[in-house]
Amino acid sequence: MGSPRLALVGTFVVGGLLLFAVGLFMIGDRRLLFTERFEVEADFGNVTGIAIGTGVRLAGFDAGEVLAVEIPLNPGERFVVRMRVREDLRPLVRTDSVAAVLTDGLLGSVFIQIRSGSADASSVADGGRIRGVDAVEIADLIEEGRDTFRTVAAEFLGLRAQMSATLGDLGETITTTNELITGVGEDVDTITSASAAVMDAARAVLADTRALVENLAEGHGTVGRLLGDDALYTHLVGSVRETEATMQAVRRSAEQVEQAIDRFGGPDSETVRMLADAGEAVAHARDAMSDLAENTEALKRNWLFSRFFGERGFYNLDQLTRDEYRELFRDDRYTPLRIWVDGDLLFEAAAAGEITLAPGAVRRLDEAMAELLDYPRDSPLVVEGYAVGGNPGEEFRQAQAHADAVRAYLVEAYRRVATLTGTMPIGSAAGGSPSGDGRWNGVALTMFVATDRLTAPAPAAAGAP
Amino acid sequence: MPDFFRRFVVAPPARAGDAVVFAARAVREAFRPPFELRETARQLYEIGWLSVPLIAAAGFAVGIVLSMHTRASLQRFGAEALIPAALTLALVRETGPLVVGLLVSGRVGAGVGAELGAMKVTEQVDALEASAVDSFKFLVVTRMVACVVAMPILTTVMNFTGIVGGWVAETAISGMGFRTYFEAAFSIVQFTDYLPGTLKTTVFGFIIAITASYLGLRTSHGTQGVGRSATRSVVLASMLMIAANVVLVRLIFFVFPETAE
Repeated sequence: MGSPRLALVGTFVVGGLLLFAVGLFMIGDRRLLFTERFEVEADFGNVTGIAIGTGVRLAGFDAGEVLAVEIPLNPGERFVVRMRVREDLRPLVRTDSVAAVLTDGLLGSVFIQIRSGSADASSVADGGRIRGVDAVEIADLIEEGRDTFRTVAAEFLGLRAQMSATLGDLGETITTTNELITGVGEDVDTITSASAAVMDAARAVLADTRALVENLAEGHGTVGRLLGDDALYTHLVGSVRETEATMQAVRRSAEQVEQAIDRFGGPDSETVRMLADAGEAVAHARDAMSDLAENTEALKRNWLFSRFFGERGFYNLDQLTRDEYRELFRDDRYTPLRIWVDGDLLFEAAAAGEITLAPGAVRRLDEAMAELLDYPRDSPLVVEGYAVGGNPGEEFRQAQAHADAVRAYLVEAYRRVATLTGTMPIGSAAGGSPSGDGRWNGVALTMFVATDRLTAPAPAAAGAP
Repeated sequence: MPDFFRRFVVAPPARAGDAVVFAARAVREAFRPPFELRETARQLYEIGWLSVPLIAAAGFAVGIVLSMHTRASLQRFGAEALIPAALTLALVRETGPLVVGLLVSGRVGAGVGAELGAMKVTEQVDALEASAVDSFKFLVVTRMVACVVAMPILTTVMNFTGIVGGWVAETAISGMGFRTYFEAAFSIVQFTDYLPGTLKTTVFGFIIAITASYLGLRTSHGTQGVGRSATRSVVLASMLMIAANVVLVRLIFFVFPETAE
């Protein structure tokens, strides 16, 4: 056998042994045979899957392996697992560290995970013991998963029922919202038209009041001389300022209503919030209108301004007798326009002696109002009630009922401002009525239009009833 | 009837006993000088070195096939990361030693059986004896020692070429680096997996060498008997080796219980 062959044999043997040694080194390296290490123990009640050589990790880092599993001597005692851990990881293994048996994935091998201890605890000594947490059995997990699934299924069914109920409620809410929006729209229309009329009137009142106060402050007239009384002056100025503040509130409320209406127009997902805004704005507008009405009413009832308001048309008709009412027709600053409406087909007797409008009354009243629609809507309108038959008391009561029924319709159908629409039961005497005999059964719609606001040719003024 | 009885009832145990004595003599002679080192080296060259290409190629192919099969199985559970370790464990524990044993049994068993059979029928064995050469030691012990030494080395070659084959198959799919694959390959392999699995092939080598040598030196009926000895050597060596493997695995489990888990 020649040298080359011997060399090949030597190569085969030595190379094979080296390769074998590489395998040994790789395994030994994984088993920390060439690394400084220390031993630590942990006790477990269940050591499923743990055997000699089972991997040990510290916070996920390969740290060592299991050296031995000591079997307890008595039932109830715990297994003690002795582990070999890299020495350089000892600072992380503290006396309060916890060892847990985990599985590397569903199919992976079992390993022991050591959780780093707290900084306050001391490092574990060589051969020291730490607390162990038992392994989680797959069967337990499956059982727990089954229970969880049942719970989730039950919750899901409950949720579905709740969803059904919620959807039903949502449908009702949408219906209610639609109705509310419709209602708000009607309220807004009413408030907008009413507030415009009231604000115009209030603006005029303020201008006149301011002029009057200035005259009084300059000492004109008897009252002017009374202005030495500071309390009265202060009261007047306060009333004016309060009215101005009320007007500003009305204006702001109207602006809010407009903004809310604009926002209602868009397909915004914040409809609900806007609806709330609109409702709030409407409420503010109502409050402001109420304040204005109260303040205006207060001014009207003030002894100093009652006449003034009477001249402006803000009559408190309850305080006027029929003769005083007839006196108003002599005031040339206003042109009274009267439309006579026959009551024969206008009313019908309702239960309990009340009188309501007959089915054909609406058309007749609309025809009558058509003649007055060309004049400013803020002109005071007085529904004069007439009735024939019976004693004067009965005629008065009947006339009042006629006037009330017609006024209610006008306020409702023509959005007349209630404070600018009054009633005056006259009775049977009706000077200038179409009947020709000075008597009338029905109503007369008398509108007091400011003479300076009439356009030529001016209509003929009606005479006193 | 007596001929049938002698052939099928008496002869087999007698031959088995003869083989056991033959094997025992080989073991005993292995430790007695002269050691015939030069002939042993020649047999190492023939049996070991010349088998390396076959073993390396087979190992590479087995590694690729194992990797593909392992991937197909583990991929269902999303455990592709375990492919290197699973493949290495399978190679080191059983696949490598058994495949090497069968390959060597086929290549070496047939060769030794035919060579010694031819020497027997051509009376070369008698010529060696006439030359004052211990034919048993020169022909049998050297081959036995060569087989026992070569088998663990060939198994190691098979294991590493199998790992390389597995890496080639894995990197073609996932692009995994060799260092990463190699470190992952030995992540769960224990000494109790690696050492018994590799060293048990010495028993395989002993069985192959003794079986082939015994059948070769018992060859009769001329050249026809030589062919029959070669065939019988391969078949009987393979069967004995597989049977011995069962016993060895059981023995390993007994000595190293953790390997059974």
